[in-house]
Amino acid sequence: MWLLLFVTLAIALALLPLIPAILELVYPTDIKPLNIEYDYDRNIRRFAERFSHMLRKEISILYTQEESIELSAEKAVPPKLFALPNLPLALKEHEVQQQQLNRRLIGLGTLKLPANMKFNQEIYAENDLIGGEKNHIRAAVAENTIFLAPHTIVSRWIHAREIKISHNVKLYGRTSGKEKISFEGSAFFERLHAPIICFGNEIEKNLSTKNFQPTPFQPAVDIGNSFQHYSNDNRSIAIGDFKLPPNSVFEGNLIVKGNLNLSKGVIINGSVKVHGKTILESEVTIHGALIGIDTILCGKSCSIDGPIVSEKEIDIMSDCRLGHEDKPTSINSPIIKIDANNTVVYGTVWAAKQGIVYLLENDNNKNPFISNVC
Amino acid sequence: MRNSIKKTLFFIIGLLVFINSTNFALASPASDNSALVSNPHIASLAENYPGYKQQAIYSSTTKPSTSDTSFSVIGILQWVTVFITVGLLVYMVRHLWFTFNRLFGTQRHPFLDIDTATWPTVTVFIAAHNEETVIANALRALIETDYPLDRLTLTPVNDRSTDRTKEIIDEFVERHPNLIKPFHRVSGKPGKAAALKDATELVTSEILIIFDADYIPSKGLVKHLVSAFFDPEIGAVMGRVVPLNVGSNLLTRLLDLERSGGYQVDQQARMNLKLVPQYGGTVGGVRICALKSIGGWHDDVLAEDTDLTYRLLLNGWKTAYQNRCECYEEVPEAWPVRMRQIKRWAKGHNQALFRHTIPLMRDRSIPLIERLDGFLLLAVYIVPIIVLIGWLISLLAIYFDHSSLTTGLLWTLAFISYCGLGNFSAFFEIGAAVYLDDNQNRLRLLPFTLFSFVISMIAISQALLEQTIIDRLFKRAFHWDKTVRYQRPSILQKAD
Repeated sequence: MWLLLFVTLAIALALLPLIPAILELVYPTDIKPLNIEYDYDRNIRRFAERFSHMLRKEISILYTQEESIELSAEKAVPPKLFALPNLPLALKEHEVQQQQLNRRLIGLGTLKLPANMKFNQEIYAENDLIGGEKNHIRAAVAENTIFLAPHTIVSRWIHAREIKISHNVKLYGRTSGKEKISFEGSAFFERLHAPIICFGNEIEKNLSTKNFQPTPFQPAVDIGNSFQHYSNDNRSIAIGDFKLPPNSVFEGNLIVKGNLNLSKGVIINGSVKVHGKTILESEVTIHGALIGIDTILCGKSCSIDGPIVSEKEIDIMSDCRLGHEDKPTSINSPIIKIDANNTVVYGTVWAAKQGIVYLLENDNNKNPFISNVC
Repeated sequence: MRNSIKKTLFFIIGLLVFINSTNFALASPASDNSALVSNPHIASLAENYPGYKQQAIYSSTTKPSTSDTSFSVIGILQWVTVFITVGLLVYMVRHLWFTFNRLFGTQRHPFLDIDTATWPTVTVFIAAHNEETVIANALRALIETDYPLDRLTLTPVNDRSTDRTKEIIDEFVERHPNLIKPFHRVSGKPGKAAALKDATELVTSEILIIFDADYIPSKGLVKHLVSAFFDPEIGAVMGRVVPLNVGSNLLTRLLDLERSGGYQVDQQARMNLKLVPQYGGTVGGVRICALKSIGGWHDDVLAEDTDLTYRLLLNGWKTAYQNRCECYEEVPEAWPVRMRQIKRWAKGHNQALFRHTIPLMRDRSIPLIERLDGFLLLAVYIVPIIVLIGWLISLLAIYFDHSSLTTGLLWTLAFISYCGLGNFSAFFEIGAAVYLDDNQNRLRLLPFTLFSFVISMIAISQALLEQTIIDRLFKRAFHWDKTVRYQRPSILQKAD
């Protein structure tokens, strides 16, 4: 009897940890495959385009309705505020007092926002959207141009044909332009995307002339003995630190296991991968991608065709051209700092943690990043 | 399945009998008087005291001489145990390191955010051998990709199919003649590697992406995989494989847990720590110039993926793992299918182990830590066999028990070390992976993974035995076992 009890107890104890497993097996509660979103295509404009499409449809229905716009707005879920062209916003008293609007704002034409106001719902403008100072915008779409006044904060996304950003603006989330985004001064950003992204006031007049001249021919650099050279796949691997002399040309892909310093005027006809720090002095041209595990410091008037990726930080000085009109590119790093003096990017700039646009005093002889690192 | 278990049981019993008989054989000479007489002290005692001779003979055949002879067996087993313990502790540290890195470390997804670029030309291979049930789904999904169509070619690699695979492919070609360029293979060496080798000769693009026919890639997947190739050091890229038929039975649920641990934690941690992520043969890609520079596909290998990973590594290329490149696959729903699959993997992996270990360890251009991890990854299919041997030795310890404090402690420590930690450290990875995937209820099934582990252990041991002895004795060539497909429309709709 005691033996039987002992055996039963022993079996019960052995099975005890298996009880949840057996229960889950018999009565499954978690048998769905891990969710993979089939339609996810990493389109930065996804939210904005969906919203814009929805609003356009809504407005077209609105124009055909017999009842007044105000009445429709009252009935709408979520609550909306329609703004008619050239008329001030019909804000309620408490909204004015609280300096907050909790209704979705839809501008039938050009929409002008009052200053010092927080918009807790999305904003849509059929034409332009002109922001006021110190606006706090959740999300906004305009079919034409968005002007963001100084000290504006956008907390989710913003999209328009063209976006003009004044100084001290904070852009959290996605900022996308069908044609162009331009920064006039210092700003904070996370993700930017447009065929052309201009940093600085002077950019317009310089765009047509600077950086686009064909690069002059220079003799190819002798790679020396510190390399593993793989001629059959057109790449060279530098074992340690590496520096290319001024105005030299490097043919093929370059992989550097240490730090890389590209002197003034260096041209690389290929892509570059650097395990350590990367310093590009002024007027360096890379006809390929630049991938760095450590920080990348991009000096004045540099030109890079392919994607620029750093796992730490990218600092971009003035007068740089990144990507090309017909070859858009991506610049990705947790931290990206860009000097807002005539730098232009074609494509996407994505700072996972912090993107900073700053204005440095125009001093041609001084390159603070180079001096800091060296 | 039953046969495999039977064979393995015979093997275990045979081994036990062998070791016992060895012990008996070793113990026998000690009963011989010559051994006793060779000891001058005992010999003199025996001569002077005949009674002692008998006693001495008795005692030396029972206690001391058994101790002497079994000591040699015990000594060997002890060293084997120490070796096993150290080996498993190394794996334990590695697994725990990976798990903690995934839970608390910095995660590397360097190419995740490249969404705008001038994309290179890409050929997508869909490896197919009698895939009439699944090939259409794969093609349909790939046609909808967001990759620039002028830079993309889809090539179903139809390897000697005898079912409707060719017909289905040709229907798609009719509808998309510029996009789909099929490769129908009617003869030649069997196997995926051989088929890929033949098809790759016709590729003119810069990048090659490979899917098996039962995979259903999402819209952005090709672009996402290709983004890693902007890094000129990357020779191959690997995405994450996610089981689709999770809910079918216990086996599929256990395989889902294993895959989670393997990709979500193990592969990503190796990516984070700049070790050796492995190209897995599907949901991955390779740079054509890198492939050519290492001599293309080897068609005499069973695991062309592992072979490629190491040949690339030895030639200065890296493999990138992209954890967010997720793609559904089918996992085996029957144990015999699973056994065959894991045997093929084990044989292929061990083949790579024999080929690449020495070149890898000798290559000083690869950092030491990478070489070590590369070796541990190569030897991963040896671990179950080591564990099995460890278990056997633990059983034998009962027979050879000495009651010596030192020996007893050593046994105990070794046993606890590898059983308690080393052996099960992979389960921490599974736990962490399920937590990261936010599928926490399925973690309850974790105790059952032990059964799956035991069955894998049997299959892997059998594979090694066949590979090292039986195949050599009978000069059997490696052959390719096609994994059975189960895909049904209902499953796909569920996933959608």
